[in-house]
Amino acid sequence: MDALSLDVLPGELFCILGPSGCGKTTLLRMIAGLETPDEGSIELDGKIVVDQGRLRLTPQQRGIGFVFQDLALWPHLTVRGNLDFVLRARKVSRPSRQAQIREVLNRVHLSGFEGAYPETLSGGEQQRLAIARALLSNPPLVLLDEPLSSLDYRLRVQLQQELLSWLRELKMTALLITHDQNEAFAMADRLAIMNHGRLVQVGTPDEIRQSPSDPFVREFLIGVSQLS
Amino acid sequence: MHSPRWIFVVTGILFLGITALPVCLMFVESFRTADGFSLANYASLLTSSRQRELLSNSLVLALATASLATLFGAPLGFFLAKLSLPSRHLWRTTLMIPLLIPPYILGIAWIFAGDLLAKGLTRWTFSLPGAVAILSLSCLPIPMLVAEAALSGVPARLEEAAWLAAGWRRTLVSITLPLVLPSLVAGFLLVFILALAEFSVPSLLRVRVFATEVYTQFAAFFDFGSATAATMPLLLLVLVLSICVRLLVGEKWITTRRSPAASPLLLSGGWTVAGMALFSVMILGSVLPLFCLVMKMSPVETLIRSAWGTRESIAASLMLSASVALLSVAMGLLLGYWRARTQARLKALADVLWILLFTLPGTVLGIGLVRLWNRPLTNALYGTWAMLLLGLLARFVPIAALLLAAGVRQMPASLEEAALVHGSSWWRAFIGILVPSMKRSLLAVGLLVFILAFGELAITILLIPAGTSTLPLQIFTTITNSPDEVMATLCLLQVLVILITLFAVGMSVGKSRAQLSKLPA
Repeated sequence: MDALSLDVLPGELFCILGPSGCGKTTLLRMIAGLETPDEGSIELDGKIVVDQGRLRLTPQQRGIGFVFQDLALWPHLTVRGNLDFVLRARKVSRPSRQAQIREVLNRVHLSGFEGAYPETLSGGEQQRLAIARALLSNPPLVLLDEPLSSLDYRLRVQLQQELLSWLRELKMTALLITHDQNEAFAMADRLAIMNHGRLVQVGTPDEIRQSPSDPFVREFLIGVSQLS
Repeated sequence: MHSPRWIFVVTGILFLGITALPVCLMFVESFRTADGFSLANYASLLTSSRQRELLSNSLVLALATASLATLFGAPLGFFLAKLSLPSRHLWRTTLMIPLLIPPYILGIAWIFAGDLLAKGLTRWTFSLPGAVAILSLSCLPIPMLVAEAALSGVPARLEEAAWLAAGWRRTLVSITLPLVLPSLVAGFLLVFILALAEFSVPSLLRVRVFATEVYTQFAAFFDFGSATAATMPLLLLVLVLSICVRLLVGEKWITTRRSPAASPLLLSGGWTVAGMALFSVMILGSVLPLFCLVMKMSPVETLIRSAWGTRESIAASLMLSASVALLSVAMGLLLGYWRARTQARLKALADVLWILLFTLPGTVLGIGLVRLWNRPLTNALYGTWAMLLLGLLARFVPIAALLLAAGVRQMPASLEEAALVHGSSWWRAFIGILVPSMKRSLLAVGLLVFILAFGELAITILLIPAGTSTLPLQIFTTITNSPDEVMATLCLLQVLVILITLFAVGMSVGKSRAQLSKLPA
């Protein structure tokens, strides 16, 4: 990682777009608390979580939601179990847990799957479960690490639209990383192009498409289709 | 790692205290004589023709056992990996039986086989070649499992790409074999080390090797200096070979995972016939000695009377083995977790230490523990069951740690990270996510340690409290004085316990697998 500075505004969906190995996942893991930067600070919802390279809040204290690239669904727990584990960790009362699980499963169209194990779900259903787990308890920030990369094109487009609508309805702030240019330009309110551990350009999709500031950005964006 | 470091530091200190400390103490004590510290013990070691004979016997036993075991075991592993087999797991478990039966039981069984089949066979059994044959049969599953694991890890696409250009023979020789050769050599070395360290079979068959000499010097002459000096060549050789195994295998033992996408290229036709023939010969070789035990054993009433008569030994063996298995899995899981998740440079050293401690002769470890704990301050512990428990933990925690490290590595770190990020403490993630996800590995390792501990002899013989016994010890110490029928009965009892445990756990593993794959309502 090189020196970089980034602000994500409340309620926006911010995408970080870049080639494989440019540091996108590392950046996300630092925000989540799974890695610690050597220098610098991270502030989350007004709280300093990393200060001058020192951890101030542990991952479990940050209250964020995270959709891992490999989904990280717990294979020995059912759909309900995967969600219940998170709510118990956050010390939510039993009646409230049941209500939240019901609500989030409804939202992601997984009602009726409470007793199923992750390995019995389809790829799209597993994706929905991972997203549902991240949305629980209205976290201040949702991190998504290439959440749709393993899906076929049709399913990916469908879930992109659904994910966008869920985040808008819940007015959640989200940081999504991807190497798929079409996905980033279709979903993001603002996005950053990343290369070799630094942010090359930050702006809205239109700003970046119309005024690429760097030869790398120009080359990287060749072939981006005009999706709304 | 986001785990509390202190738990690993404490576990590591406990582990080193139980295992490495006695061995280090022995190293220091090997220089002690009646006149103080000197090299006198080593001088007699190097100049004595008796010692040279011991060295020669030990090396011949180890080299011949490793060669024979690999010669037959590697092809078995090849067929297990390459044939399209129904119930592969069942075949593998059956072929593993010789590994799970204590080698001295196989030795006793082959002695009886000589009585039943040919008198000359009995005479031949009581010799170095006889010891080689029995240990080869006992250790054969090791190169088999290593070969199978290595071959299963070779993705089909690598072999298919070669097959398109050259024939299957060329593919096997030029592509497959070079990829798995380091693992095969590591398996060979592992059997070499285990045969070098073996005590029970050479002792039973009156073959003089270093492992038996160590015991004789200590137990018969109570010459601690000579006993510890006699262990040093063994210790150094085992250390060097452990380093070689680690260098050959590297991180592969912990990172290799089988996935459906990387399934090996399967063979059929004539290969299946050859494979089945070899499986049959191997199974016959395993079953024949057990059959001889059955032929020699007493009528059922006497069997029941013998079982009742040795109930205290059997109960002691069961409780001890269960305790060792439980504690080894607990300690091994913590050590294995550290090994799987750490980036520290120490991890290579840990691998060597674990291989060394597992393959170290039991007599060496036992003597080290006696020397360490037989002091006024620790008298309350010495001579009790706790002492024997410590000795068995020293023996088996390393193998539990090695196997569970591989098991933890199979689990994506993201499973724990997902728990941490979503609010869980590390302990909750460890106990609520990792441990249940590794249920099968934990059960399998616990079972393996239980079976190995149940048949353990070398440490037991040195550390068992006076006036008590375990079933293996009872078999071993009464073999010269008891009728063959009683011996056969006791041996069969031991084998029965092992097979019942294997079967019971195998059933519950199969059941938990079926539950996990249940479709939702």
